[in-house]
Amino acid sequence: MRRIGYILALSLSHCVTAGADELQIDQAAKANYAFVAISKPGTSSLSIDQHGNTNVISSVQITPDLNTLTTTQSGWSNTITIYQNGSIDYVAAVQSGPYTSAPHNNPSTSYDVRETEQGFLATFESGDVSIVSLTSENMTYVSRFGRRR
Amino acid sequence: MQGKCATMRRQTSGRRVALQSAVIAAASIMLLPSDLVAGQPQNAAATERAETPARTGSGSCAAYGPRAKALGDTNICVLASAGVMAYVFKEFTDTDIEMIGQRIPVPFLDAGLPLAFYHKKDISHETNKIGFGALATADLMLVHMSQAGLLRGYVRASFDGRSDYDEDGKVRLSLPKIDDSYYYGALNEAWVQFNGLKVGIQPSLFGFNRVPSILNPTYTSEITTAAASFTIGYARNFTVSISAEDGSRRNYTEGILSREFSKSMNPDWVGLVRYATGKSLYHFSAARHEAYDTVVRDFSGEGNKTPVSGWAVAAGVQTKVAWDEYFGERFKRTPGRLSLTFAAADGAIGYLGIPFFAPDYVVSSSGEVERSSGWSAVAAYEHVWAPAWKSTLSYSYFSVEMGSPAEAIIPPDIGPLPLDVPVTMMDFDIKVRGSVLQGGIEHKLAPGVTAGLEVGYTWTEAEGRYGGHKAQELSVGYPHVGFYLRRVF
Repeated sequence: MRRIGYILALSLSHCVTAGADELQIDQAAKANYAFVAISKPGTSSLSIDQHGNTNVISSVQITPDLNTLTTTQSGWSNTITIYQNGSIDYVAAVQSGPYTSAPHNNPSTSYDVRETEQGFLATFESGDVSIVSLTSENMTYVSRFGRRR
Repeated sequence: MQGKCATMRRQTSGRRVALQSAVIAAASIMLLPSDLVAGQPQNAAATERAETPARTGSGSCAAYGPRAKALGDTNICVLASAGVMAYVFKEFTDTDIEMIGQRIPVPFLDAGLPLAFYHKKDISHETNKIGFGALATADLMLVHMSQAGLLRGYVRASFDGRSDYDEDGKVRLSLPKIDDSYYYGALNEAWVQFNGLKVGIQPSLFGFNRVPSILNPTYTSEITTAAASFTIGYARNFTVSISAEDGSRRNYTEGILSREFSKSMNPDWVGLVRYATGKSLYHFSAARHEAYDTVVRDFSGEGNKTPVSGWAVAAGVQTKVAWDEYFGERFKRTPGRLSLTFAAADGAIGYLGIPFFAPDYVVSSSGEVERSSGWSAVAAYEHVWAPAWKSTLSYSYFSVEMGSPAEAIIPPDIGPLPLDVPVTMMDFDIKVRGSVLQGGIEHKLAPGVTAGLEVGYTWTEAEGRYGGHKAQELSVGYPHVGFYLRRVF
């Protein structure tokens, strides 16, 4: 395990699966950002895998009972910041240098939001970038604007 | 969608401003000479009245036009008019670019990390049906000339209802609101003028005074706002004006990336110079936008209001094209009118007259402000083919760029020793460009009755960078068509 890897990394496909308990987020763009801010319901259980040149996870889990987070990052630059405040808090983080020669995704621009058991999961993908946020309703601050505001 | 969506203050849209200008404009196909130098009413109807030589008016009021009537023995002249317009329009698209602003709770960033995204939004529920609307306006002017000078009062109000389809395809009536009030939305102008001093809700000095299209606005600034303005006429064709204007109607803020407010005691300052020659009118204006922001205080619970400011400049020219000078006498009755306008802004995007694709600025968690910047331009030509026929052709373009100050995901000074690794920074930069090409034809059916058809193509493009990484370009384009019928009284 390394905190920061220095080997070229290329991509896998992006997918998000929501199980009954654990919610898994996979990101495989050149630059992957995952932001988590969960305060409800009583437990929070996440797994985040990132494979790209730059991988960033910022997680705040403050559900009252159980907060678990398992992460895997492989890339040139891997960053994690975690804050947990529950009765039981658990983190497993694996950071490594890039390990695959598969090409990165280069997805067209899309923005999608869906509601999961643990909050609103918003995904923005475009070109070299994948940005995912998972936020409880009371920690979700969003505006919409444009020609048809 | 999610949880707490920001509530945005609705302003009178560009389309609505264009419509109101259209209805108050004379139903005739008159092109020139409708523009007075600053300090005069900026709508064509009032201008026409003011410039029409005395012919049939009553008594001394005839100097203000054929419609001017004396108000008893008071030496006050009254000018009143009204107009109605009905219209239908159709946009041939299922998608348009939408912007998303989000402030995400992040450790070490007390006020959260501001991010913005862009994507194609499905708007088929709005566009798969024909839109329609109706607009009625009424205006009244009182004029009194004494030895002390000219005293005028003017009021213009409107009912402006148009269709608005919700996501289930049900049609609703949409009315303009300003400061969350339908009454303010209906009161377009209300001012009193004594010589060069004018106080009240009036056209901003910043904007140039004519929109060539009716149903779909061009990217030019035309707004009425509460203001106190003063004009000095150095000559009949050269004026200098300054005004203190309510800047709240210029605020481009969506509540998450920024929360911008204006104080009445801290207005926008706008300066204007206009110069007219025989055929042309030149316009130069500049504005200083003043406001304060509360987004960091609101999200972190700490800190004070953050003063913010921006500026904008504009230049334009409108000129009569006398085709008879080039092609002979038989073109004397078919003049043209060419107008060019340009505006640039930094931290005051509301002065560009463009759709709301960027707030005036974005505030980071630390309170640092990064101002948005951009520019817009319009080239338009109007041509009179016959006394009852006129056509218009215009091309509008805008470019605006917004971004957030870069912030460290892990602050380098968090531990007892500085982190000996590269600090991961996060920010965003998004550029949006757009243009509208449109043409129209207008026919005078009868005195005071005009019908018009407009067709156009709107194009918008967005591209961004996140943490220095390039996102893909996104482009949307679609044609649109509209028809209107208006009557002035």
